[in-house]
Amino acid sequence: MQQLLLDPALRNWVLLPIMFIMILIGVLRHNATILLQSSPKRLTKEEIREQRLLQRAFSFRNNACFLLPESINNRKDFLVDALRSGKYLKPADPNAPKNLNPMMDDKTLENLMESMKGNMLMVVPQTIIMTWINEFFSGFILLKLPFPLTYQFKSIFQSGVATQDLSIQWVSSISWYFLNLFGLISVYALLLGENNMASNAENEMGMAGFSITAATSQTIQPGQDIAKLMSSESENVQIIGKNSLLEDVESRVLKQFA
Amino acid sequence: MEKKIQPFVTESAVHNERVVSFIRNMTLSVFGCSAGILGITSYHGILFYLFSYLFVSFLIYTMKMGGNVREFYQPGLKFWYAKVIEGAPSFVLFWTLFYSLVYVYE
Repeated sequence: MQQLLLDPALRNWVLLPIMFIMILIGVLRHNATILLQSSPKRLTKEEIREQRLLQRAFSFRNNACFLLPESINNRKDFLVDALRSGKYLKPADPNAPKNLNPMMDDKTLENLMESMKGNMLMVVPQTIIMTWINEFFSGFILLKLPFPLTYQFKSIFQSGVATQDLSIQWVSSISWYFLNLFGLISVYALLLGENNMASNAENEMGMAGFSITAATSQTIQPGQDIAKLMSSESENVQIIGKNSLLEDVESRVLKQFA
Repeated sequence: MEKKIQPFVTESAVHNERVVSFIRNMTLSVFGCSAGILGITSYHGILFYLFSYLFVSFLIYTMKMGGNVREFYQPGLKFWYAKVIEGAPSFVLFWTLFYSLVYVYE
């Protein structure tokens, strides 16, 4: 077992400061992401109507079993008619340019900007810190991993130190950076609460979390034909059968308490 | 067809999951510190991690859920093993940190 004795100054000036700085940069990134988020766009009345109709159809599909059979039929007729006839569609704006290229749509661009901003905010600090560490903190062994790794990691983890015999457990500061990168996610959860922007775990920010928001976020996506969505939704609604939980509920309740 | 309702409120389930993962994060970090201080190395460390993960899950099971996982977490059996990988990095971070602080530095 190789035993190296390291200078305590390394601990004071490298180990703890790197960890501290990474925590601070994470907090900073979280706050910066929140500040840079643009406020939600105001939709016009017609657009909101379209989206609300689709949401209503979606909720109906999910919860139809709780209604009476006649209510189910009524709602089904109304929804299928509304979705098919296009009464709720936004009136086509004759002044709007015909965008054959869906990428150049206004809303697509805005969404792209949002996701790009999020990505840049994640990537740039990581790159900066990695270069900073490689620049200033290379060339010495910083800490000892309690567990052994394979030899392929030698070139990554012992980057500044060019020895052959040093066991893989002694690593340089870049591996400390990697350890911190993954391990501080829980510290961010403690400091910033859940759903914080500093951890990589919020990649579902742009995607659907739950079922209701799935429907709404679908409609907010630009470049999608609302009319097409409506017609597919009308077919889905038509498939809803008469599975009502309230059928002969009286006899079941009586049986339960008989 | 089963004509009973199975009320499943998404918000409660999400909240429960958040609480459980928060508890796990904190306790696994502390267990990582203790592993480092005790000087546990390599395979024993992995065993210690699994032991602490199961121990914490068991405590949540008995004290908070009262032995009834299905009411609080869907599906029931996943509560025990689904998040093992997620808790590992914080454990390893604090384990390495304290091991180096105690055993490598003066």
